[in-house]
Amino acid sequence: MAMAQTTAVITGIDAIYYLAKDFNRARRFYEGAFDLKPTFEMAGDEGGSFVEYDLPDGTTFGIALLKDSPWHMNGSIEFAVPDVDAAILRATAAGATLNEDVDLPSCRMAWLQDTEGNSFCLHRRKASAS
Amino acid sequence: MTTAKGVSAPRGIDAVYYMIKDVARARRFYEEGLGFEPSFVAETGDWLGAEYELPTGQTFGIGKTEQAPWTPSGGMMLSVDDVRDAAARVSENGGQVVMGPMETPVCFMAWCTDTEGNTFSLHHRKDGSVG
Repeated sequence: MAMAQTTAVITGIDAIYYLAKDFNRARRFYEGAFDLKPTFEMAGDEGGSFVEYDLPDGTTFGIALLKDSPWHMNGSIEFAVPDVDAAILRATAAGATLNEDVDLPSCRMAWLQDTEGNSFCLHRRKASAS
Repeated sequence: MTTAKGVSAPRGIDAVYYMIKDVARARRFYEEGLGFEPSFVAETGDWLGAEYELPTGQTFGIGKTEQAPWTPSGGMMLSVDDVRDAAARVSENGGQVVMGPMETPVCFMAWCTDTEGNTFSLHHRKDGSVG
């Protein structure tokens, strides 16, 4: 069945992630400059170190140090979508490349690359459909 | 003068921009592929691209300029109460203010880099809206 092309599948930006070269230095900067309070931390895990800050508008800003990926200029958006599978189909049909599909207790996220080489994520929070 | 704690804490993310290489190709992808509807299109000038307002009020933008080569990007525009105050705190904490603070008809903003080399903007809409 053809998917309605007029349906906006993106409802908002749930989160944006920056990469760090020095995880603790990056934390000091954002927590010192902006008084950000961590709402989620996962340091020293197999995949790397992560910290997230929930902002008053409901958006999450995150910093990551990835073990398997060197630092590069980044800023990957996690787009909120109501249906991750449908959104993946549309995105890949339009030329995106699916790199990783992760199902976590808190959310489902599919990481893709757009036609320009930028990384983005199709994201659905399980506790909220935002 | 000591900067008051909390004054420059971000209220949210107003916008995020991706750099693109081919405007038509990128617009096809985001508009026909993902269903974005443009709220602003720049077809002439130094910056070419489009902006898409999301149901949450946030803006996603794509664009290219001859003044800067394409890089993987994603510069967020953090909404703050006072751009000058926030810019001062960026510098005090090891970041750099690379452009501004400046005023446009609709907002105040300053472009910065963090200690890691990532680009972001301090942003305050004149109408007071966030996100």
